[in-house]
Amino acid sequence: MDHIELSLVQSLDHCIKCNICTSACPVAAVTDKFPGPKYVGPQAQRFRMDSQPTPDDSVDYCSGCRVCNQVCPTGVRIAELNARARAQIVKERGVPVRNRLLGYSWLAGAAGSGPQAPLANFAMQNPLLRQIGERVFGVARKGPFPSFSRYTFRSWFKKHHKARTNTRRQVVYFHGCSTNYYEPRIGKVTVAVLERNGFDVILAKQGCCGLPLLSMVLSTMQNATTTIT
Amino acid sequence: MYDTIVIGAGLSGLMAGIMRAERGERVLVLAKGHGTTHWASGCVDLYDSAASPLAAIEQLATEQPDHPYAIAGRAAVEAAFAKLRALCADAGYPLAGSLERNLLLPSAVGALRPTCFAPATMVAGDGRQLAANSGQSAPLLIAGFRDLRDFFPQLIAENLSAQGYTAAAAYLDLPPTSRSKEFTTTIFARLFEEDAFREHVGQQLRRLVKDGRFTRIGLPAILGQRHATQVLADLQARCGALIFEIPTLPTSVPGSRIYQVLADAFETRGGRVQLGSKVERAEGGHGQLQFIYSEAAAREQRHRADRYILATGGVVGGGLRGDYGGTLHETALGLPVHTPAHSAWFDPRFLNDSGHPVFRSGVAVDRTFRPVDEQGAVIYNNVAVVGSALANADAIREGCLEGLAVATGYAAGIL
Repeated sequence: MDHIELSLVQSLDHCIKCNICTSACPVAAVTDKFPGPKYVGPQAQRFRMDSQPTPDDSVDYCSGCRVCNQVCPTGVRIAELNARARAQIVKERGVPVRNRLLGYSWLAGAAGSGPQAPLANFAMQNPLLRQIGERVFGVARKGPFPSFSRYTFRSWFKKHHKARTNTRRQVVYFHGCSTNYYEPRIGKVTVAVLERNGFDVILAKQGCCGLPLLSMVLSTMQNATTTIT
Repeated sequence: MYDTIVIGAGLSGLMAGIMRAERGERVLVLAKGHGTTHWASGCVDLYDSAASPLAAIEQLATEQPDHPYAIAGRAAVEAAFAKLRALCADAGYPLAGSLERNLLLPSAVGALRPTCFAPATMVAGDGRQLAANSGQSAPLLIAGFRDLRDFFPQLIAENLSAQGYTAAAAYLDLPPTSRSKEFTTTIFARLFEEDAFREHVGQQLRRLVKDGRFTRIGLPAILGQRHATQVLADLQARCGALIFEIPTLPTSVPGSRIYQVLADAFETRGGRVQLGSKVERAEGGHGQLQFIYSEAAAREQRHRADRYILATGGVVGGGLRGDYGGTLHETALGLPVHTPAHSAWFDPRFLNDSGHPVFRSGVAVDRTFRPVDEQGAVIYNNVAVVGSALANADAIREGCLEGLAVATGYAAGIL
């Protein structure tokens, strides 16, 4: 057991079962397939043994958003416990195709955004294709997808970018995949606000932040964010 | 850079934050997580007294000049409660009660618990109103849902009846909903904001009222999250009886409502709340606190302000912690804790009338809430300590947990 794991195991005993995490959890609010962070985290953890199969799969509905950690009054590391429990499930049974599809969302973003966006959006909203997607890949047909943008934020930025001003106030903007492929207007207004306030905006080379990989259990906690961003 | 950083997002921290923000300051509230608001009843206790609680704390101030109420002073107590009531009323969630007389509200086991102010959604449960009811043929009904854990109408009704408040009990059927397994208090509160759900519950209550001639109904405190006042009015109109909420076990919906009211008020005044940020240490010297450090992902985050307000609570809230060696620690800034020797912590009698000395532990302060050491010397000039972290009060035994938080938070907020 390394020191991180030890701190997680010790934090179990800080849970006083107040359910504040469940009341704040966005997943528990919309489905009771997910019984809530308290149950799948500090409670179920007591039944997970190294040498035995995972007792309950409901933890797989955890999206990894960490709201539970934020609101917990006693500092239980619920999201980390859940991430490790999900990694255990994957270790036992392998990664489903669905997880690979959704986990590498930046690939889908790169393929779907641009001039071909209308076609890609049509496909993503087509009931027949979605039904096939549900059968074959296990992606729920009713789950909404964001719309691909006809242009990426980075392509807009390349054209927009003005000659550098003399200001020494510079900001490196990490825009994320969502802004780049789906909602470039978010990036545009961000740049507008920053420039209006006298900042020179720089776009660094950047990849996936690792969150989709983490929530699809394609990467463990320690290496996801550090290796990819 | 902030003018004031408040550590802790409970009643005292948010009150202090609101008052500083109203003075035009840039204020940050840093907190480990949600405060003990979500564990408490959502009522505001001033002092457990059969007579006037306000008179009782004036008396207390003369007998115990170090008591936090004595430091805040009567004027601040009155102003703080007026402010809290105004904030709640503005948010459409009024508090009812009086500083001169406690309400007696049924608890989740049917005991009558004194409190100074309660949300209007609970007031029809006041013992004095129930007494007026007991002579009539139309008794009181306590109702709940089997699906809601830890709320037993039968237990409450029997205990109330044993005290002379004749009451009957009933379980309501769960209206059709997309959920089937998990029914926490919060989930019920969200369901009660749906028209169809209320209609179904309203019909059942109407039938019960018709058959049993009930004039008052006690329900678990799950009647809506953001629109509790409207939910209650709607249910009363549907069933034709007065309805009151009875506090539940945590997560407390009325507790989360009052948190939301105060957090919203703070943010609309320009304040910022940052949860998930446990303050772990501080740096300072020469009577000034300079920096505080909070836990962040894989690092510490450093914060700086001109002034700091410590509102981290007592043992329950995590502001004070005891170690196995018998030493109490203040967890955020490392301030000295004013406490008796370990051997004198407890009275040999468990149910001792005057409580146990250890419960009066906390950070000692001067007349402007600045932390002091055992010699009475001020440690940091730019720090104020408020709420349950303060020494010289036994808040649970005295029945002043929330009142003390509101009064001291307010008083430090206007310094």
